[in-house]
Amino acid sequence: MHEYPITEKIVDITKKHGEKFRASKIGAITLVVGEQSGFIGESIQMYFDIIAEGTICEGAQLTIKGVKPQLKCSACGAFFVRAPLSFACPQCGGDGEPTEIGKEFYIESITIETEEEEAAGPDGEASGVAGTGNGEAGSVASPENGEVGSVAGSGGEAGGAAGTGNDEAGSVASPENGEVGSVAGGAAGTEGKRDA
Amino acid sequence: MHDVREITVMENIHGENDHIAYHINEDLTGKGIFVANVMGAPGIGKTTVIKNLIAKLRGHMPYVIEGDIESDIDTRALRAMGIKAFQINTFGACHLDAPLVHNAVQNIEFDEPGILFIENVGNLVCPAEFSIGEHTKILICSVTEGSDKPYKYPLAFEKAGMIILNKVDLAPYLEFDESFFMKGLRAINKNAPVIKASSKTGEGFEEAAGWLADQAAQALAGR
Ligand SMILES: Nc1nc2c(ncn2[C@@H]2O[C@H](COP(=O)(O)OP(=O)(O)OP(=O)(O)O)[C@@H](O)[C@H]2O)c(=O)[nH]1
Ligand SMILES: [Mg+2]
Ligand SMILES: [Zn+2]
Repeated sequence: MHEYPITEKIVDITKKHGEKFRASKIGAITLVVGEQSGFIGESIQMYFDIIAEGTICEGAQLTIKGVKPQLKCSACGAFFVRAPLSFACPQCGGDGEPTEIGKEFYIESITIETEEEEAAGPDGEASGVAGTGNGEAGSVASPENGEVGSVAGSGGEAGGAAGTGNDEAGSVASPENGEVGSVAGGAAGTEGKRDA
Repeated sequence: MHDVREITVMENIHGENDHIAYHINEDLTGKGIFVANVMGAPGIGKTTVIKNLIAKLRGHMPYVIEGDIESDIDTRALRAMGIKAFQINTFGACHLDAPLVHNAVQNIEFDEPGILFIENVGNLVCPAEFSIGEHTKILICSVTEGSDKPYKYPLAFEKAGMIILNKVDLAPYLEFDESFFMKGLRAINKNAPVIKASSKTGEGFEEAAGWLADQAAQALAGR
Protein backbone atom coordinates (compact mmCIF):
# COMPACT_ATOMS: atom_id res chain seq x y z
CA MET A 1 0.00 0.00 0.00
CA HIS A 2 2.52 2.44 1.33
CA GLU A 3 4.97 1.73 -1.53
CA TYR A 4 2.53 2.34 -4.38
CA PRO A 5 2.62 6.16 -4.49
CA ILE A 6 6.33 6.21 -3.87
CA THR A 7 6.90 3.81 -6.76
CA GLU A 8 4.94 6.18 -8.99
CA LYS A 9 7.31 8.88 -7.85
CA ILE A 10 10.29 6.71 -8.78
CA VAL A 11 8.89 6.17 -12.26
CA ASP A 12 8.19 9.92 -12.61
CA ILE A 13 11.68 10.96 -11.55
CA THR A 14 13.22 8.37 -13.86
CA LYS A 15 11.09 9.54 -16.78
CA LYS A 16 12.06 13.14 -16.11
CA HIS A 17 15.77 12.30 -16.22
CA GLY A 18 15.34 9.98 -19.20
CA GLU A 19 13.49 12.61 -21.18
CA LYS A 20 16.19 15.14 -20.49
CA PHE A 21 18.56 12.85 -22.37
CA ARG A 22 15.90 11.98 -24.96
CA ALA A 23 15.98 8.34 -23.94
CA SER A 24 13.81 5.93 -25.88
CA LYS A 25 14.00 3.41 -23.11
CA ILE A 26 15.26 3.04 -19.57
CA GLY A 27 17.32 -0.12 -19.29
CA ALA A 28 18.00 -0.10 -15.57
CA ILE A 29 17.38 1.85 -12.39
CA THR A 30 19.48 1.63 -9.25
CA LEU A 31 17.78 2.64 -6.03
CA VAL A 32 19.38 3.05 -2.63
CA VAL A 33 16.93 2.13 0.10
CA GLY A 34 18.01 2.32 3.73
CA GLU A 35 16.32 -0.17 6.01
CA GLN A 36 15.13 2.73 8.12
CA SER A 37 13.66 4.63 5.19
CA GLY A 38 10.42 2.81 5.85
CA PHE A 39 10.25 1.40 2.35
CA ILE A 40 10.53 -2.24 1.42
CA GLY A 41 12.49 -3.09 -1.69
CA GLU A 42 10.34 -6.11 -2.53
CA SER A 43 7.17 -4.04 -2.48
CA ILE A 44 8.66 -1.40 -4.72
CA GLN A 45 9.72 -4.13 -7.10
CA MET A 46 6.22 -5.55 -7.13
CA TYR A 47 4.51 -2.26 -7.95
CA PHE A 48 7.19 -1.16 -10.35
CA ASP A 49 6.25 -3.53 -13.15
CA ILE A 50 2.63 -2.43 -13.00
CA ILE A 51 3.34 1.28 -12.85
CA ALA A 52 6.09 1.26 -15.46
CA GLU A 53 3.90 -0.43 -18.05
CA GLY A 54 3.40 1.73 -21.10
CA THR A 55 6.15 4.19 -20.12
CA ILE A 56 9.80 4.37 -21.17
CA CYS A 57 10.52 2.58 -17.89
CA GLU A 58 8.70 -0.57 -18.95
CA GLY A 59 10.96 -3.58 -18.65
CA ALA A 60 13.69 -1.69 -16.83
CA GLN A 61 15.84 -3.78 -14.55
CA LEU A 62 15.39 -2.50 -11.01
CA THR A 63 18.34 -2.93 -8.67
CA ILE A 64 17.76 -2.11 -5.03
CA LYS A 65 20.75 -1.55 -2.78
CA GLY A 66 19.73 -1.99 0.84
CA VAL A 67 21.61 -0.17 3.58
CA LYS A 68 21.67 -1.38 7.19
CA PRO A 69 21.23 1.40 9.73
CA GLN A 70 24.39 2.29 11.64
CA LEU A 71 24.82 4.11 14.90
CA LYS A 72 27.82 6.14 15.92
CA CYS A 73 29.23 5.57 19.37
CA SER A 74 29.15 8.79 21.40
CA ALA A 75 32.12 7.59 23.43
CA CYS A 76 34.60 6.08 20.97
CA GLY A 77 33.19 7.23 17.65
CA ALA A 78 32.89 3.77 16.13
CA PHE A 79 30.11 3.14 13.60
CA PHE A 80 28.17 -0.05 14.24
CA VAL A 81 25.03 -2.01 13.43
CA ARG A 82 23.10 -2.43 16.63
CA ALA A 83 22.09 -5.67 18.33
CA PRO A 84 18.37 -6.20 19.02
CA LEU A 85 17.02 -4.27 22.03
CA SER A 86 20.27 -2.40 22.51
CA PHE A 87 21.95 0.81 21.37
CA ALA A 88 25.25 -0.03 23.07
CA CYS A 89 28.55 0.12 21.21
CA PRO A 90 29.98 -3.39 20.77
CA GLN A 91 33.51 -2.05 21.37
CA CYS A 92 33.16 0.11 24.46
CA GLY A 93 29.54 -0.09 25.60
CA GLY A 94 28.93 3.63 24.94
CA ASP A 95 25.59 4.90 23.65
CA GLY A 96 25.13 4.74 19.92
CA GLU A 97 23.68 7.88 18.40
CA PRO A 98 21.55 7.86 15.28
CA THR A 99 23.17 8.65 11.96
CA GLU A 100 21.77 9.15 8.48
CA ILE A 101 23.12 5.76 7.46
CA GLY A 102 20.15 3.50 6.86
CA LYS A 103 17.70 6.30 6.09
CA GLU A 104 18.70 6.65 2.42
CA PHE A 105 16.00 6.70 -0.16
CA TYR A 106 17.13 7.89 -3.54
CA ILE A 107 17.67 7.00 -7.15
CA GLU A 108 21.38 6.51 -7.60
CA SER A 109 21.57 6.04 -11.35
CA ILE A 110 19.67 5.00 -14.43
CA THR A 111 20.76 3.40 -17.66
CA ILE A 112 19.26 5.05 -20.71
CA GLU A 113 19.01 3.90 -24.28
CA THR A 114 18.87 6.47 -27.05
CA GLU A 115 18.33 6.05 -30.78
CA GLU A 116 19.63 9.34 -32.07
CA GLU A 117 22.23 10.49 -34.55
CA GLU A 118 24.52 12.18 -32.14
CA ALA A 119 24.69 11.08 -28.60
CA ALA A 120 22.01 13.19 -27.01
CA GLY A 121 23.16 15.60 -24.41
CA PRO A 122 20.87 16.78 -21.73
CA ASP A 123 18.69 19.78 -22.45
CA GLY A 124 20.49 22.22 -20.31
CA GLU A 125 22.64 21.45 -17.39
CA ALA A 126 21.94 18.13 -15.79
CA SER A 127 23.38 15.48 -13.62
CA GLY A 128 26.79 14.20 -14.49
CA VAL A 129 27.10 11.23 -16.76
CA ALA A 130 28.78 8.33 -15.11
CA GLY A 131 32.00 7.45 -16.78
CA THR A 132 32.89 11.01 -17.56
CA GLY A 133 34.37 11.22 -14.14
CA ASN A 134 31.25 11.93 -12.13
CA GLY A 135 32.83 15.06 -10.79
CA GLU A 136 29.73 17.10 -11.44
CA ALA A 137 27.22 15.12 -9.54
CA GLY A 138 29.64 13.66 -7.11
CA SER A 139 31.13 16.84 -5.86
CA VAL A 140 27.89 18.46 -4.89
CA ALA A 141 26.52 18.36 -1.42
CA SER A 142 28.21 15.48 0.10
CA PRO A 143 26.70 15.86 3.53
CA GLU A 144 28.85 17.25 6.26
CA ASN A 145 30.83 14.71 8.23
CA GLY A 146 30.58 12.24 5.39
CA GLU A 147 28.53 9.82 7.42
CA VAL A 148 26.24 8.99 4.62
CA GLY A 149 28.67 9.10 1.82
CA SER A 150 30.67 6.24 3.08
CA VAL A 151 27.88 3.77 2.72
CA ALA A 152 25.76 5.23 0.04
CA GLY A 153 27.27 2.93 -2.45
CA SER A 154 28.34 5.27 -5.19
CA GLY A 155 31.93 4.32 -5.26
CA GLY A 156 32.63 5.14 -1.69
CA GLU A 157 33.49 8.80 -1.83
CA ALA A 158 30.63 10.76 -3.20
CA GLY A 159 27.53 9.28 -1.74
CA GLY A 160 25.49 12.20 -0.65
CA ALA A 161 25.44 14.12 -3.84
CA ALA A 162 22.49 15.96 -5.14
CA GLY A 163 22.84 16.04 -8.89
CA THR A 164 23.25 19.48 -10.32
CA GLY A 165 20.23 18.91 -12.47
CA ASN A 166 17.81 18.49 -9.64
CA ASP A 167 18.08 21.59 -7.56
CA GLU A 168 14.38 21.45 -6.94
CA ALA A 169 14.27 18.12 -5.23
CA GLY A 170 17.80 18.16 -4.01
CA SER A 171 17.69 21.49 -2.32
CA VAL A 172 14.56 21.06 -0.35
CA ALA A 173 14.79 21.84 3.27
CA SER A 174 12.82 19.61 5.46
CA PRO A 175 11.58 22.13 7.95
CA GLU A 176 12.88 20.48 11.05
CA ASN A 177 15.41 22.19 13.20
CA GLY A 178 18.22 22.66 10.84
CA GLU A 179 19.19 19.05 10.33
CA VAL A 180 17.94 19.55 6.88
CA GLY A 181 20.65 18.87 4.37
CA SER A 182 21.62 15.49 5.61
CA VAL A 183 18.13 14.09 5.83
CA ALA A 184 17.12 10.97 3.99
CA GLY A 185 20.11 9.57 2.39
CA GLY A 186 22.05 12.63 1.63
CA ALA A 187 20.35 13.15 -1.65
CA ALA A 188 18.84 16.15 0.03
CA GLY A 189 20.31 19.51 -0.37
CA THR A 190 23.36 21.59 -0.36
CA GLU A 191 23.53 24.55 1.90
CA GLY A 192 22.88 27.74 0.13
CA LYS A 193 20.76 26.03 -2.43
CA ARG A 194 17.85 25.94 -0.11
CA ASP A 195 14.57 27.20 -1.39
CA ALA A 196 14.06 30.81 -0.44
CA MET B 1 22.79 4.69 -33.58
CA HIS B 2 21.81 2.81 -30.50
CA ASP B 3 23.44 4.18 -27.45
CA VAL B 4 23.34 2.89 -23.89
CA ARG B 5 24.63 5.01 -21.06
CA GLU B 6 24.48 5.15 -17.34
CA ILE B 7 23.45 8.46 -15.80
CA THR B 8 24.09 9.46 -12.22
CA VAL B 9 20.84 10.71 -10.76
CA MET B 10 21.20 10.97 -6.98
CA GLU B 11 17.71 12.31 -6.52
CA ASN B 12 15.95 11.97 -3.23
CA ILE B 13 12.61 10.29 -3.77
CA HIS B 14 11.19 12.18 -0.81
CA GLY B 15 12.25 15.41 -2.45
CA GLU B 16 8.81 16.48 -3.54
CA ASN B 17 7.17 15.64 -0.22
CA ASP B 18 9.85 17.59 1.61
CA HIS B 19 9.53 20.49 -0.77
CA ILE B 20 5.79 20.74 -0.15
CA ALA B 21 6.35 20.35 3.60
CA TYR B 22 8.81 23.20 3.50
CA HIS B 23 6.25 25.46 1.89
CA ILE B 24 3.49 24.48 4.32
CA ASN B 25 5.82 25.39 7.15
CA GLU B 26 6.82 28.65 5.56
CA ASP B 27 3.23 29.63 4.84
CA LEU B 28 1.93 28.79 8.31
CA THR B 29 4.88 30.38 10.07
CA GLY B 30 4.05 33.53 8.14
CA LYS B 31 0.51 33.37 9.47
CA GLY B 32 1.73 32.95 13.04
CA ILE B 33 0.70 29.31 13.23
CA PHE B 34 2.92 26.86 15.09
CA VAL B 35 2.48 23.30 13.82
CA ALA B 36 2.79 20.16 15.96
CA ASN B 37 2.70 16.74 14.31
CA VAL B 38 1.20 14.38 16.90
CA MET B 39 2.26 10.78 16.40
CA GLY B 40 1.70 7.52 18.21
CA ALA B 41 0.20 4.05 18.04
CA PRO B 42 -3.57 3.53 17.64
CA GLY B 43 -5.47 4.29 20.83
CA ILE B 44 -2.42 5.57 22.67
CA GLY B 45 -4.24 8.79 23.57
CA LYS B 46 -3.35 11.26 20.80
CA THR B 47 -6.77 12.91 20.70
CA THR B 48 -7.07 12.95 24.48
CA VAL B 49 -3.65 14.57 24.83
CA ILE B 50 -4.50 17.20 22.22
CA LYS B 51 -7.70 18.09 24.10
CA ASN B 52 -5.80 18.36 27.38
CA LEU B 53 -3.05 20.50 25.86
CA ILE B 54 -5.59 22.83 24.30
CA ALA B 55 -7.27 23.25 27.67
CA LYS B 56 -3.95 24.42 29.15
CA LEU B 57 -2.83 26.57 26.24
CA ARG B 58 -4.84 29.66 27.02
CA GLY B 59 -4.06 32.60 24.80
CA HIS B 60 -3.23 30.38 21.83
CA MET B 61 -5.96 29.85 19.29
CA PRO B 62 -6.13 26.07 18.72
CA TYR B 63 -6.64 24.37 15.37
CA VAL B 64 -6.70 20.61 14.85
CA ILE B 65 -6.37 18.48 11.75
CA GLU B 66 -7.34 14.88 12.38
CA GLY B 67 -5.68 12.30 10.16
CA ASP B 68 -7.63 9.10 10.21
CA ILE B 69 -7.88 6.13 7.92
CA GLU B 70 -11.60 6.53 7.48
CA SER B 71 -13.67 7.90 10.33
CA ASP B 72 -14.30 11.41 11.62
CA ILE B 73 -15.38 10.67 15.20
CA ASP B 74 -12.42 12.47 16.73
CA THR B 75 -13.12 15.52 14.59
CA ARG B 76 -16.78 15.60 15.60
CA ALA B 77 -15.88 15.31 19.27
CA LEU B 78 -13.44 18.21 18.99
CA ARG B 79 -15.95 20.38 17.15
CA ALA B 80 -18.51 19.64 19.84
CA MET B 81 -16.04 21.21 22.26
CA GLY B 82 -15.92 24.34 20.11
CA ILE B 83 -12.47 23.60 18.66
CA LYS B 84 -11.79 24.32 15.01
CA ALA B 85 -11.18 20.81 13.73
CA PHE B 86 -10.72 19.51 10.22
CA GLN B 87 -10.63 15.99 8.84
CA ILE B 88 -8.23 14.25 6.48
CA ASN B 89 -9.15 10.70 5.58
CA THR B 90 -6.29 8.73 4.10
CA PHE B 91 -8.51 5.83 2.97
CA GLY B 92 -6.12 3.10 3.87
CA ALA B 93 -2.82 4.95 3.86
CA CYS B 94 -0.86 4.48 7.05
CA HIS B 95 0.48 8.04 7.44
CA LEU B 96 -0.15 11.62 6.44
CA ASP B 97 2.08 13.15 3.83
CA ALA B 98 2.74 16.72 2.84
CA PRO B 99 0.43 16.85 -0.22
CA LEU B 100 -2.54 15.69 1.90
CA VAL B 101 -1.80 18.27 4.58
CA HIS B 102 -1.25 20.96 1.98
CA ASN B 103 -4.73 20.40 0.56
CA ALA B 104 -6.28 20.52 4.01
CA VAL B 105 -4.41 23.61 5.11
CA GLN B 106 -5.44 25.54 2.00
CA ASN B 107 -9.07 25.19 3.00
CA ILE B 108 -8.63 26.38 6.56
CA GLU B 109 -9.08 29.99 7.48
CA PHE B 110 -6.52 30.83 10.09
CA ASP B 111 -8.08 34.02 11.28
CA GLU B 112 -5.82 34.29 14.33
CA PRO B 113 -2.29 33.16 15.12
CA GLY B 114 -2.22 30.01 17.21
CA ILE B 115 -1.21 26.37 17.36
CA LEU B 116 -2.20 23.76 14.81
CA PHE B 117 -2.15 20.17 16.04
CA ILE B 118 -2.07 17.60 13.29
CA GLU B 119 -3.03 14.18 14.64
CA ASN B 120 -1.30 11.67 12.44
CA VAL B 121 -2.69 8.23 11.61
CA GLY B 122 -2.30 5.83 14.55
CA ASN B 123 0.96 4.08 13.68
CA LEU B 124 4.38 4.07 15.26
CA VAL B 125 6.35 3.51 12.09
CA CYS B 126 5.38 5.34 8.92
CA PRO B 127 4.39 8.81 10.19
CA ALA B 128 7.92 9.35 11.49
CA GLU B 129 9.30 9.17 7.96
CA PHE B 130 7.24 11.95 6.43
CA SER B 131 7.58 15.64 7.07
CA ILE B 132 4.22 17.34 6.85
CA GLY B 133 5.30 20.92 7.49
CA GLU B 134 5.52 20.70 11.26
CA HIS B 135 7.70 22.75 13.57
CA THR B 136 7.89 19.85 16.00
CA LYS B 137 6.81 16.26 16.39
CA ILE B 138 5.09 15.18 19.59
CA LEU B 139 5.34 11.46 20.22
CA ILE B 140 2.70 9.96 22.48
CA CYS B 141 3.59 6.66 24.04
CA SER B 142 2.17 4.92 27.04
CA VAL B 143 3.03 2.65 29.92
CA THR B 144 0.57 0.15 28.43
CA GLU B 145 2.76 -0.40 25.35
CA GLY B 146 5.74 -1.85 27.18
CA SER B 147 9.12 -0.35 27.83
CA ASP B 148 10.90 -1.75 24.78
CA LYS B 149 9.32 0.63 22.25
CA PRO B 150 12.34 2.95 21.81
CA TYR B 151 14.33 -0.11 20.76
CA LYS B 152 11.72 -1.42 18.36
CA TYR B 153 10.62 1.88 16.82
CA PRO B 154 13.74 4.00 17.13
CA LEU B 155 12.94 6.44 14.34
CA ALA B 156 9.77 7.75 16.01
CA PHE B 157 11.72 8.36 19.22
CA GLU B 158 14.68 9.85 17.42
CA LYS B 159 12.58 12.42 15.58
CA ALA B 160 10.36 13.50 18.44
CA GLY B 161 10.69 17.04 19.81
CA MET B 162 8.68 16.12 22.91
CA ILE B 163 7.71 12.69 24.21
CA ILE B 164 4.63 12.19 26.35
CA LEU B 165 4.50 9.02 28.40
CA ASN B 166 0.76 8.74 28.72
CA LYS B 167 -1.67 6.77 30.89
CA VAL B 168 0.68 6.74 33.87
CA ASP B 169 -2.40 6.30 36.08
CA LEU B 170 -2.33 2.69 34.85
CA ALA B 171 1.28 2.09 35.84
CA PRO B 172 0.39 0.32 39.14
CA TYR B 173 -1.31 -2.42 37.14
CA LEU B 174 1.54 -2.97 34.71
CA GLU B 175 5.20 -3.86 34.68
CA PHE B 176 6.71 -0.89 32.95
CA ASP B 177 10.50 -0.82 33.23
CA GLU B 178 11.05 2.91 33.19
CA SER B 179 14.84 2.82 33.39
CA PHE B 180 15.06 0.46 30.39
CA PHE B 181 12.66 2.73 28.51
CA MET B 182 14.64 5.87 29.36
CA LYS B 183 17.99 4.26 28.60
CA GLY B 184 16.94 3.38 25.07
CA LEU B 185 15.18 6.66 24.53
CA ARG B 186 18.13 8.75 25.70
CA ALA B 187 20.59 6.84 23.54
CA ILE B 188 18.83 8.10 20.44
CA ASN B 189 17.25 11.34 21.63
CA LYS B 190 19.19 13.48 24.08
CA ASN B 191 17.05 16.60 24.04
CA ALA B 192 13.35 15.90 23.94
CA PRO B 193 11.56 16.46 27.24
CA VAL B 194 9.88 13.26 28.40
CA ILE B 195 6.71 14.10 30.29
CA LYS B 196 4.59 11.67 32.25
CA ALA B 197 0.94 12.40 31.77
CA SER B 198 -2.50 11.10 32.53
CA SER B 199 -5.87 12.35 31.47
CA LYS B 200 -7.32 10.67 34.55
CA THR B 201 -5.28 12.73 37.03
CA GLY B 202 -4.46 15.63 34.73
CA GLU B 203 -0.76 15.41 35.53
CA GLY B 204 1.83 16.43 32.99
CA PHE B 205 -0.24 18.62 30.70
CA GLU B 206 0.70 21.92 32.31
CA GLU B 207 4.37 21.16 31.73
CA ALA B 208 3.82 19.87 28.20
CA ALA B 209 1.75 22.91 27.27
CA GLY B 210 4.44 25.17 28.70
CA TRP B 211 7.09 23.51 26.56
CA LEU B 212 4.91 23.88 23.46
CA ALA B 213 4.22 27.53 24.15
CA ASP B 214 7.97 28.17 24.47
CA GLN B 215 8.67 26.36 21.21
CA ALA B 216 5.94 28.32 19.48
CA ALA B 217 7.31 31.61 20.76
CA GLN B 218 10.78 30.71 19.49
CA ALA B 219 9.64 29.44 16.10
CA LEU B 220 7.43 32.42 15.44
CA ALA B 221 9.74 35.11 16.78
CA GLY B 222 10.95 37.45 14.11
CA ARG B 223 8.66 36.15 11.43
N1 LIG C 1 -6.50 5.37 31.82
C1 LIG C 1 -6.24 6.25 30.85
N2 LIG C 1 -6.87 6.15 29.68
C2 LIG C 1 -6.57 7.05 28.73
C3 LIG C 1 -5.64 8.09 28.93
N3 LIG C 1 -5.53 8.83 27.79
C4 LIG C 1 -6.38 8.26 26.92
N4 LIG C 1 -7.03 7.19 27.47
C5 LIG C 1 -8.03 6.33 26.84
O1 LIG C 1 -7.44 5.66 25.73
C6 LIG C 1 -8.40 5.48 24.69
C7 LIG C 1 -7.91 6.03 23.38
O2 LIG C 1 -7.71 7.43 23.49
P1 LIG C 1 -7.67 8.38 22.20
O3 LIG C 1 -7.29 9.72 22.68
O4 LIG C 1 -8.90 8.23 21.42
O5 LIG C 1 -6.47 7.71 21.42
P2 LIG C 1 -5.93 8.04 19.96
O6 LIG C 1 -4.47 7.81 20.00
O7 LIG C 1 -6.40 9.38 19.53
O8 LIG C 1 -6.64 6.90 19.12
P3 LIG C 1 -6.73 6.77 17.50
O9 LIG C 1 -6.97 8.15 16.98
O10 LIG C 1 -7.89 5.86 17.28
O11 LIG C 1 -5.43 6.17 17.08
C8 LIG C 1 -9.68 6.18 25.18
O12 LIG C 1 -10.52 5.22 25.71
C9 LIG C 1 -9.16 7.13 26.23
O13 LIG C 1 -10.12 7.41 27.22
C10 LIG C 1 -4.99 8.16 30.22
O14 LIG C 1 -4.14 9.04 30.50
N5 LIG C 1 -5.32 7.22 31.13
MG1 LIG D 1 -7.46 9.95 17.80
ZN1 LIG E 1 32.24 2.91 21.52
